[in-house]
Amino acid sequence: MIPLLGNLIFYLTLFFIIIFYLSWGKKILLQDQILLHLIYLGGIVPFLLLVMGFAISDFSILNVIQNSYIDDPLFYKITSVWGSHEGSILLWIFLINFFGIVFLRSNNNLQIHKQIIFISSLFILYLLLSSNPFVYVEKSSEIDGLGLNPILQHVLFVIHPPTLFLGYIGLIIPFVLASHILATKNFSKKFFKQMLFWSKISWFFLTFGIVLGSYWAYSELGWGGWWFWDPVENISLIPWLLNTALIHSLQVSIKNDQLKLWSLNLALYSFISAVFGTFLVRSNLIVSVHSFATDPLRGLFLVVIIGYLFLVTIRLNIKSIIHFNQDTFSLVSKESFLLLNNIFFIAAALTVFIGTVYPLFSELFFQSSVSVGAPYYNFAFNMLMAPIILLMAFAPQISWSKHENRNNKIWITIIAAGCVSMLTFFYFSNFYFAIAIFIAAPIIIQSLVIIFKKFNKDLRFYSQWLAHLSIAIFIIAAVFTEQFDQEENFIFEKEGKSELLMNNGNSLIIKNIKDTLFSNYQEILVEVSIINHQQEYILTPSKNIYQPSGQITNEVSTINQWLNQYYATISTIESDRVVINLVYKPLINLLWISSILLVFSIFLSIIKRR
Amino acid sequence: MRIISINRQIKKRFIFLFIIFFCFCFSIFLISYTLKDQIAYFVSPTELQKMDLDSNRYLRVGGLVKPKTLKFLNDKWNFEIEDEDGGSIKVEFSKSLPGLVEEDKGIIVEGYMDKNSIFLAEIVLAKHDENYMPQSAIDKMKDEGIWRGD
Repeated sequence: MIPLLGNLIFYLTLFFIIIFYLSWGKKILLQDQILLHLIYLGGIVPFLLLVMGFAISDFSILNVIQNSYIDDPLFYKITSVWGSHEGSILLWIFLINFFGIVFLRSNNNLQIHKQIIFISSLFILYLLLSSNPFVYVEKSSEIDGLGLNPILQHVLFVIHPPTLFLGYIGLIIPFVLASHILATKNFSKKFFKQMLFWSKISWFFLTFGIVLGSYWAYSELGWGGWWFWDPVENISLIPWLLNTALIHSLQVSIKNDQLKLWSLNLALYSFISAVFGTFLVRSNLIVSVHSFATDPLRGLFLVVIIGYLFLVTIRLNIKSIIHFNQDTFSLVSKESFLLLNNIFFIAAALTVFIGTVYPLFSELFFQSSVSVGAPYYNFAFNMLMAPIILLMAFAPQISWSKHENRNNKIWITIIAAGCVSMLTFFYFSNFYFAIAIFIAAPIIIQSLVIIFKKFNKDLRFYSQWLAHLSIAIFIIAAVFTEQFDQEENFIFEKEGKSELLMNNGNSLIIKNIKDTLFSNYQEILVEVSIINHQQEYILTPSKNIYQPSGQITNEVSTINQWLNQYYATISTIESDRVVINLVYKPLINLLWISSILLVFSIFLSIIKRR
Repeated sequence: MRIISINRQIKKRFIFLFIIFFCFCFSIFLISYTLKDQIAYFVSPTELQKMDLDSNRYLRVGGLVKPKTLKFLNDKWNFEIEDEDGGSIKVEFSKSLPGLVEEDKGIIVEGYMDKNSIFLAEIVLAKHDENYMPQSAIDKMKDEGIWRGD
């Protein structure tokens, strides 16, 4: 039933889209947006159908058999929808149409919606031709489903993929708006304001999605920690960087009527980078830890979609080169600083892009397989980010469009930051951390000064400072946790002591080994506790054996100690001994707190508009 | 008159774009040239055995975990990675292994080669994708005629 309905709705939607195009220019069908609503709903409903199929374990759908198990808990059953490639493309279509229908409420310009519909129809075709989740199979009573990949069975799997996708697809609205503005040459402020609003929405979800993904990778063994420069992580960072640049340059466009073409072209490339990134990982051209099942046909279709987007963009690029706008602002003004910020952000995005696709080129041209690892990014990316972060401390106070002399204040801050960083160097004797302090300190100093001085400003002001401040805190936390983490292995023999001494003087006690059976897995759990000044911190790392695959996962257990965290895993568990691996991660919680503050800051700036 | 001046401006702009493009290419060349040593090479155990050992080079090695070599000894995980060409390399890893690491299964490690030809892994990666299913399940699906994979 569901497979039939799903396919039917998609074909109907395609039919409606054809009618929409045929009736272009004839006002009868287009007048009240019934057709438009039908098309958008046609993109939304199939996803909900599949969700239902998963919820009731309808094993007449092949996708449900392959990705869900009859005894999985309900919320894993439902979220298994985006556990497979087919399902995530369906989610992608759902979100395009969802954004379309929401956007319809604030802007009913048919030209703009025509383009959203066209992109959506490309994805629908892609889904029907190469990755259809609605494949019908004869129901067989023996089948209980193969189950969701155990390693994906995590609370974050429920929210991370949709959040990230919301971020990617949110960029479609700035894309269609920008291409509409460039095509009609109607540079009205209304469009730019809408663009800013939607790119902020996308930024909110994108940042949140990246943070969630980072936290998930951190809490899963073998995924390389909170940030590992894996291709999948990189391709989410590229649109993020471009979108960040876009938000900054749009401020100039709205406030001062300048950098308009710049913003528009940025908007075009932000969305393309999001689609291109998806293509890279989905086509398996680039090897990632988080690989997805692939087949060449899928990649080919995505090439068609990207080809279309590129053609649109390049045509508009050429148009905008010929079109002139007179950007005039003095060298030391907010505009030029924001432009500088943009250049650095774009350069950083390019660096990440080059690192990500370099293995592909080296494979093609030099026949050598290379993986560009952390050393490259840590060097190139951080080199580009350092000036941005220094700029962040001072640029917000420089006034619009005029030259102003406030140099002495800047120098005082920089000298203060230098002193603080020298002190940290002598105290911690770590070069990297001292550099991080030097870069981040100016923002913190300026934030404190400004928040106390101009207390009665509006929300927008706070959101901006909060965003910059949380970046500064993030840098300090990230460098600190990377530089000062400590790791130890503790071997508990069967006949040996149950209490071992840790390097920092605390002791680790093994308390219990439990074996529990859950609906779809068996859990072997080791309970250990850290004794620190009469306080007890209990950790429960475990190994889970999943049904029906028999796959084992190694589950991490963490315990917080203020901003620091102990991170425990079972290294091995045998009949005569248990080995626990314990990592002490200082300030790691500060990293998460600053990330959440960053997400919250953009939330502040979105709600002030309403 | 105006058209001519606009044309000139377009020309100027194109020259400007060309210069930017040139600078961009040049800087990419510079970056990739200077960072040549910072790129982690992806090698197989056979290639690694043939290589001149430069202990400061960060490497990524991929292959299969050799059967009967995966052991926890002296505070560390020890195992060998082998490939189809017969090469194999000893690896040490002091942290916990991800659950997906098993004998005779694929593995990717990153780290440095030490002087005694032992690879000191800093990161062990566990690849995961949606098609993780066990062979028995695949066989069952093939029997029922609903298997779509290779």
